[in-house]
Amino acid sequence: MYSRGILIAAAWLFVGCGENSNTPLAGDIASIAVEANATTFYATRNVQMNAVASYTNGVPNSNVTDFINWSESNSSIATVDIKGLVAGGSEGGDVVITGSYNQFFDSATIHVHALRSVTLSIENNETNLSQEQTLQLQALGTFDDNTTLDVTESMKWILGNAGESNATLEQNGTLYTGDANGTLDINVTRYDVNASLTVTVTP
Amino acid sequence: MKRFLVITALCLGVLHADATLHVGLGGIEGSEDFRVENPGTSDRTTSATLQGVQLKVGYGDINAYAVEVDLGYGRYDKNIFSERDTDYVYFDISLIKAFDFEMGFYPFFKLGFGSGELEVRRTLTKSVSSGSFFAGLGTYLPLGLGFNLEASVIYRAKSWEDVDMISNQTETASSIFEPYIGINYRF
Repeated sequence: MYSRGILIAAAWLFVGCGENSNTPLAGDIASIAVEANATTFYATRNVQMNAVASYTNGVPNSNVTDFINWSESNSSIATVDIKGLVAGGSEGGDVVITGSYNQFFDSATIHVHALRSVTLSIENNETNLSQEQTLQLQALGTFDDNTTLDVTESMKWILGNAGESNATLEQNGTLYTGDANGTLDINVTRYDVNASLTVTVTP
Repeated sequence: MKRFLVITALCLGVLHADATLHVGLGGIEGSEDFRVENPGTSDRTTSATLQGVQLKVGYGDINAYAVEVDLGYGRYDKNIFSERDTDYVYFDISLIKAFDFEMGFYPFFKLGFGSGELEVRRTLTKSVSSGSFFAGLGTYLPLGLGFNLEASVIYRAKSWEDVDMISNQTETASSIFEPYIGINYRF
């Protein structure tokens, strides 16, 4: 530090201490702006956030969605992942999604409609099924604004009471009855919203 | 490691003949050509004058080999990285080969490398570092009583630290012909 002090003192003789006034060649970060591709969504669906950085000195804007940190104000209403994809939670309401990078940040508010109930239906409404049959089940969800939507792909499907049967239930609601007689309990769940259906398998 | 020790031993052996310690102080002024690659734009170039002072300490012979370390301070007359670029501090290590043609002065050439740091006022950083390689020519002119005048010019190529633009970086390189004049004292 002492030698640097000598250098700086000597430099005043040679260099002076005036400031430059030109515009720098390098651009700098001016701000980040975030926006959602929808301002309202149903909890079983997703919203993609986008972030754009603007710069000084004529450097064009850049999409920085994948490079900034994302956070939500209430994870019971919605959560946002590192790529800015927002997923609904168990509750409805407004949630603030914030994108940040060091001291730069911006936010957007999104309204989430919560899933209130779900009903299960089966192809042809037939619950007495034969062995080795493949059927499609459907889950219909009702949201807090009384809108009903197909939520089949958004639910967790659980097959119970299969016993020795080789019956299967895929996460898209496709049921294979297997090669054994008996009853199969089919459940769907998402947070605290559930529905169930029992089918009977006969030869 | 073995190779390093051998080279070090050879250098010390070469330097040992009539080696002396020397210190020096001098000034530089040169026009540095900058090329800045901002993301999404064509390259931008400018020439900025660098003025500075250098403090040096060396060990070796005025008419043979010497090694030298330099500590420098300077300023550019233009902003490169921010609205307020200020102090540039740098550190060099040089190897010098001087000659005695019995003309009363000792021409030399030098090779070296260095690093530097420029103080800036960017949003995400307050300094930008650089690395450089250089080569140059010069001469020592003895003034008596252990003093000698040193005049030289080096060509220095610098690579600057990339600066963060979130999704990408701004890249910068520069080069400068760097004249130096100063006084050395040999013990």
